[in-house]
Amino acid sequence: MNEQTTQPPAYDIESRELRKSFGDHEVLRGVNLQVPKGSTCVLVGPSGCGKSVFLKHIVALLTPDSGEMMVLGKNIAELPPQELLALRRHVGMVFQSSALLNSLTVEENVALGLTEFKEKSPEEIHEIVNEKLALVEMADTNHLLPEELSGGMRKRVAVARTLALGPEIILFDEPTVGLDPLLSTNVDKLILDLKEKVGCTNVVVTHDLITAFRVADRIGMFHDGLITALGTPEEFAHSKEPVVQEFIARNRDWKI
Amino acid sequence: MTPTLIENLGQRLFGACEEAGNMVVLFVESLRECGRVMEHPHRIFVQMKNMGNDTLFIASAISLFIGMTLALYSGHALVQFQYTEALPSLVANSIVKEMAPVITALLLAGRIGAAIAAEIGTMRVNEEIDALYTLGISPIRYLAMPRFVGCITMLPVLVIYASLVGMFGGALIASAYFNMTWGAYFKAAFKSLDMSDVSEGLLKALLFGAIVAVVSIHRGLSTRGGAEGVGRAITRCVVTCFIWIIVCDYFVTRFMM
Repeated sequence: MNEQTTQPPAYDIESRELRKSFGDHEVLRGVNLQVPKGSTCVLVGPSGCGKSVFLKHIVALLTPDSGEMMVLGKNIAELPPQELLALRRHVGMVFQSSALLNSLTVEENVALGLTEFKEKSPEEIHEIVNEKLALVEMADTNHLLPEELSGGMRKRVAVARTLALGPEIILFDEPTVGLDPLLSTNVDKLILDLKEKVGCTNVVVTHDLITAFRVADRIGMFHDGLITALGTPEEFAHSKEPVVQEFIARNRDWKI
Repeated sequence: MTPTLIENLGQRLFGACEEAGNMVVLFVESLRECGRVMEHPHRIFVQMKNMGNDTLFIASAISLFIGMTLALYSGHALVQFQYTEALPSLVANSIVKEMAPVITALLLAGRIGAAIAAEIGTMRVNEEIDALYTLGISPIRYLAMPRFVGCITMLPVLVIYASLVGMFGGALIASAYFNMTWGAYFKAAFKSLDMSDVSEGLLKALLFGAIVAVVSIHRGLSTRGGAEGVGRAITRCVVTCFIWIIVCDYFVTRFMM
C-alpha cells in the first residue's frame, strides 16, 4: 500500500482482468492492458466489440463488474465521488460526437472546466482558452456556437476543451468517424502534434486502420470482449492472429 | 422463456422502487448542492427568469378564468340560499389553498418540467452529461441545482400571483352578476383568509415545485435511446408530475385540516 503512494505508478493506465456485462451480454471478458506514460495506444476492432465500453471504464463513466482499472495509480472503483471528480480532471476524453454543450459558445465550452472551479481569474481563463484554441488551429472562433462548426472543427474544439484542464491522459473515442479523408488526416495530425507538444498519454479507439498506423506506438485488437493482439504497428501488421489478418485484409479491400 | 404475470409485476414493482429511490437521492443531492447557490448565481437567475417568463401569461389566463368559473358556480348556488355574501370567502379560500397551487404546479410541470426533461434528456443522448463528468463537473451541481432552486422559488411566487389574479376574476363575476362592489368583495375575501390558509398554499407550492424539479431532472438524466427516448422521457415526466402533484395535494390538505 505504502509502495503505491510513494512511488509513481509504472503505467498511467492499467486494467487487470476487467469484466463488464450488460444484462446477459458480457461485453468485456477479462481485459488486461498496460499503457505506459507518454505513449499512444490505439485500440481497433469491429463495432460493438467493447472498445468504447473499455474507454468509458478509464474515465469511470462505467464501473467494472470485476477486475481492476488503475488510472494514475488509483483504482477508480474504490475512489469516493469527490476524489473521482478530481481524478477525472487529469483524464480528458474527446467523444465520438464531440459532446460540446450546444447552448454555450466555443469560448464558454473550452472554459467550462476552468470557470466551474473558480481557480483562475476570468483574464487568465480567457488567455488559456485562446492558447488552446490556437494549439488546435481554431483561433478566433471564440464567439461561435457549436451548430455553426463543421464536424472536424467541433472535434478540434472538443480537444481544446480537454486540453484546457491540462490532463495527463487523453482518450479519443472514434476521433475520425464521420469525417472525410482530409479532415481525418487533420485529426490524426492533431493527435500526433499533441503527443509532441503536450506529451500526454493517449488512448485512441477507432476502427480506422489508417489512423491507427499513423498515430500509434502500440496497437491492440479488440475481439469478442478481449484484447487478442497487442504490439507495435509493425508487429501488429505481421500478427499471425486470424482476426487481425482478417481485419487488416477487410480494411485493405475496402480502401481499394 | 416468457415471464409470468407475477414475474412481470415483480419486475415493475422493483423498477418503480428503484426509480423512487433514485429520485430521493437526487432530491437530497440537489438540496445539499443548494449550499453552493451563490457560487454561480447567474445560472439560477437565468432559470428563474425563464420559468417566470414562460408561465406568467398562461398562469394569468388560467387563474382569471378559474376564478371567474368558481365565482359563477358558487354564486348561483349561494343565491338559492340567499347567502351571496359568502361568495368572496368561498372563492378566495378555494383559490389560495387549492386551485392556485395545483393548477400552477400542473402548468409548471407541463411547461417547464417538460422543457427540463427535454433539455437534459437531449444532453444525455448527445453525451454532453458524460462530457461534464469527464471535466470533473457534477451534473447535479451544474444542471440540477439551478433548476431545483428555480422551481422551488418561482412556484410560490407564481402561486401568490395566480391567487391574486384568480380573486380578481371572482371579483369581476361578483360585481357583474351578484351586485357586489369591488371594495366589499376584496374586503370580505382578505378578511376570510388567515395566515394558515396562505401558508397551506405556499407549502403546497414549495412541495410541488420540488416534485416538478426532481421528476423532470431525473427523467432527463435517465433518458436512453436517442430522439425517441427524449420524447418518451418528456411524456413520462409530465404524467409522473401530474400524478404526484394530485396525490400529494390530497395528503397535504388532509394534514393541514
